Amino acid sequence: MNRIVGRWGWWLLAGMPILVFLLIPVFALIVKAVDNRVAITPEFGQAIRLSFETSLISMILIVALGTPLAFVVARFRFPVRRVINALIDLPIVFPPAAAGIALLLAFGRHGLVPTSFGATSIAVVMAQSFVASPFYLRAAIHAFTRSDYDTEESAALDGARPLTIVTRIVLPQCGAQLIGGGVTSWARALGEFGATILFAGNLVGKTQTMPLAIYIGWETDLDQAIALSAIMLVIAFFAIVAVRLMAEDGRSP
Amino acid sequence: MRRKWLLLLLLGGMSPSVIHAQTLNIFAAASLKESASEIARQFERRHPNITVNLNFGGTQQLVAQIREGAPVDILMSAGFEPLKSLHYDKSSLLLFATNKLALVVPSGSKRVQSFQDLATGIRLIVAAPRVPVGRYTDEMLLKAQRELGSAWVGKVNQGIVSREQDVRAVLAKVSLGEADAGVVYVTDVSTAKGKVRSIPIPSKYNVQAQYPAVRFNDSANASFTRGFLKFLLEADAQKTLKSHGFGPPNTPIDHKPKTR
Repeated sequence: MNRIVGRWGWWLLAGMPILVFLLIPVFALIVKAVDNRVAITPEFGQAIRLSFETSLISMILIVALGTPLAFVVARFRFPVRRVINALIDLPIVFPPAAAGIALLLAFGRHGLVPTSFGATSIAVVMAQSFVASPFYLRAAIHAFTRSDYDTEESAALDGARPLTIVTRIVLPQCGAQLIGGGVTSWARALGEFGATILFAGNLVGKTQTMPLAIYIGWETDLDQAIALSAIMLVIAFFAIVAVRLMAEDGRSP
Repeated sequence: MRRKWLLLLLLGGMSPSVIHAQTLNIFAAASLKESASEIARQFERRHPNITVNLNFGGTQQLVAQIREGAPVDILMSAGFEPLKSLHYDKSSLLLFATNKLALVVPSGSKRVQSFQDLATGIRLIVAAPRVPVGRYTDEMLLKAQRELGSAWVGKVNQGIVSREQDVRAVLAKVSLGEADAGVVYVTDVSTAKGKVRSIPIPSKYNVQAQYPAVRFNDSANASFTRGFLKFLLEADAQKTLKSHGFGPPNTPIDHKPKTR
């Protein structure tokens, strides 16, 4: 079938350099981590716990607050729609360190909207949500735009209310893609570093997440940093696999 | 034709090492940002054929970079402790400056008026324990503990909201008003003029920071690196350090690498 575009073997050969380039660091990290067999210190254990807690809260917030925004952008035509659509991607092009400074200037104790969240776990969640939200919003907009309108129209003809149509038809139809977007943004939140260290600071058990502990660890205890990096890698890998499986699951029926 | 290209490639690959012979890579503690830059310019003026590359950071960051193989000729450290894990030319070790700690508060803030106020439930930002200034801060609190008691120090420690990566990060956060106070070096205060104001630390609690410099055995520019280290103790460099608030290196080395 695909013969018209050539043999797969040649294409794979052409794609090999980047694949090898991507895999060597992963391989190096795992080999070293297995070789070291270090036990995680309590300090790093706290970082792992804090990272999971904050990134899960961030994901829940992003999904809860982001879904209506994605829906309105995907389904309606209104004056500032295109502006909003463009602004959503802004955090992606923001260097995370710049995002951290921007968050300080916005929500710092003397910021535009003064809060006392800086240097608390709330600040960690804010930094994560800021950088991770575009990944969910983009996926959700994409999902809502492409769902099947026929079912919705016939449900409306049968007298279903708008909210019922959204919760019973739209959301289930887009479920796999929404979950996929949620997991991607969770993974991004889990890896968040630059904005966190600037806005939330670095305090064990309060604001020191895994990426911060890795960064600080490599200067003082390289083996711990390697172990923690390997753990993050494994988690990220399973998250990606989960997203893939869900996406395939959503396509099959 | 092809051979010509190969030759060009080879020459191209070689030229950086030729240039390298005229370049000094100096890693310096964040607190030396202004003074070391100025000293480097003075040194370049005296030796027009030498270019000095400077890399600033928390000393522990620089040490980690060196351990991972970063090209370095000279390290200007903010303490002796970080040197312990490095292989450097032991005979080159020299002390070129001293420093003291300072308490800084946002210029508009009235919450902290004296050193004792640190234990009044204020938000304090200090450097991480592995950063030299963070270690000095802990030493200072230990000294204070002997007189003001462990309850006092416990209260201060409770108020610590972040432990930053280098002294300038502490200063930046205090400048933004993110903390009621921060502990930096006296030499840092002037770099955030108008944004922070310093509160005196009683001298009985204050800690003297020692600034040693060392050269590395494998550095290709042995004569330049020795020349630069010598230059650090000459009048020009010492005048520059003094103008930025550093103390003279006249005190005997009492911080000799201890074994823990």
